[in-house]
Amino acid sequence: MTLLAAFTWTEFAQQMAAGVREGAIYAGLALAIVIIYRSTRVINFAQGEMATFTTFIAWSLMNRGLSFWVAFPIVLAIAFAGGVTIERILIRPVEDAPVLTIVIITLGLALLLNGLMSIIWGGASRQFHGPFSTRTIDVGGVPISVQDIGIVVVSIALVALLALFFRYTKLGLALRASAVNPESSRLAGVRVGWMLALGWGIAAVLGAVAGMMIAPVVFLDPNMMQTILLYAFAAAVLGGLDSPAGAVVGGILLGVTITLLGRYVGFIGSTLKLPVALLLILILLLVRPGGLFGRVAVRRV
Amino acid sequence: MSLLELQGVGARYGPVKVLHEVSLAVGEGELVAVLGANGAGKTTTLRAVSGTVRRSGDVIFEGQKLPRRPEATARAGIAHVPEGRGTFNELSVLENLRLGAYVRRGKVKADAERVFDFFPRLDERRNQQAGTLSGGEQQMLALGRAMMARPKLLLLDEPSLGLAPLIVKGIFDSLERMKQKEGMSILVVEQNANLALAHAARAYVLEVGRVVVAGTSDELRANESVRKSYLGY
Repeated sequence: MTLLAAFTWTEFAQQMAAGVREGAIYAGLALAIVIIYRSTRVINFAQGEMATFTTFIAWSLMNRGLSFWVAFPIVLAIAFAGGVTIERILIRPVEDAPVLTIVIITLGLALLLNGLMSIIWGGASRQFHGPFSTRTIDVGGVPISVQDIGIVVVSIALVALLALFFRYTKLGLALRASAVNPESSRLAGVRVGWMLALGWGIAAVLGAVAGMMIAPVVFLDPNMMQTILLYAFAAAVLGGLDSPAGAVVGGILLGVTITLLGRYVGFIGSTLKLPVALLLILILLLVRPGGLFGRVAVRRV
Repeated sequence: MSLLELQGVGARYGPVKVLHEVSLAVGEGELVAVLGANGAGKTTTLRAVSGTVRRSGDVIFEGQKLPRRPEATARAGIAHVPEGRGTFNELSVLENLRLGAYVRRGKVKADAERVFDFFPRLDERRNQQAGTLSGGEQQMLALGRAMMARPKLLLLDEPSLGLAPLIVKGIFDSLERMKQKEGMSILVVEQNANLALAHAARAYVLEVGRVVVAGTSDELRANESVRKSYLGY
């Protein structure tokens, strides 16, 4: 077994494209994790299952004859409403409980959703027909699949829309304000409780998009997102849990790194990708404890 | 009729009762001061009005009972600049001002320019992160945020805290202007009694959670015990 695989530039470019595509998915989920974390300091372990659940809803709609792009907005609306409802019903009552309590609730929610999916749709893997064809087109001499390009474009568009929303709208500003200073936000007239719910809604939408984008690449089953969620956690930590921009950069960086490592470093292959990724992040965190973009909380005494 | 009236208001933090039956009033266009030592309940009085602490008794604003929710207080037309000024450190100066106008519709841009006219120092720093401002600038920003809400009543907690005398003078001059130009009524809590009485029409003195003296600023200055305990002469 050789340590380094044979190298051609064309293949390298293809691997890069595949890495960016992987990364775009991680980025979307990582962003969802960061949005909830920023406002409540809670890591939402149900993020993956929420995404898979909404992807199953898309599958059911398409099974009834709807085309992908008709089902897409319907699923996003359902995801948003679902996210808001979860926050209102499950998280709101324990708002003032220790963070650990809420984390356990999200773990329970993940198990609940996973079980529900098995009951409703069965545990078997299903093919999910995505909106993009898997044929390749020629990009500057490199054959790249339309699907990869589509996934990246949709993810970028979504992130850009969110960035505009957070930066330029009153509601987006209120969301950010509630995350950094809830007490003061209340005094300014912001209904902070609803902002938290809105954050869950947005996170659910991000997850739904990630799910519908990745399902055609892998297969759709109740556990589809579990490994991906681990990578997304890693990406969020890599970027700095507090930073939305960090989540996106961390996601892409992680996708590209593990894809290239898996392809070119012989002993890693596909089996060691996850541990190697986590090891790299561990090393980075030793050097930069706040992640790439995060700030380390300094307490003045 | 008074704009704001507290009728027998009490407040507690857990088992510790901090305010006992406090009654006071602020009239239309008036600047009223609440004086007292550390721990007398000055900050809690303001918090009881804006609903950021559990309270008993009634708070009447414009003839109606005020609900005990900070969001509702803001919507009713009360701006509370809390202890520590409530700055959104991670957001820019302009974003802080935009948040000040959260309860209103329209004309946010024009109003922000008005605040910048009022406090030119903020204009120079409009895109800077608010957390990087000096203490005096943050106090200006806090007043600016309050102006953006176009409130009928401003609750102001220790504007002089930690600021140099010259800057404090500037802040109180701004308060006078806000009162006159914007027609705001102001309830200010202050440890610096000399300063507060120089600007306020009336004042209340709190001691361990009770109003012990109330009157016009002149009356308070003439009061023997107030002079000895709070004015230092």
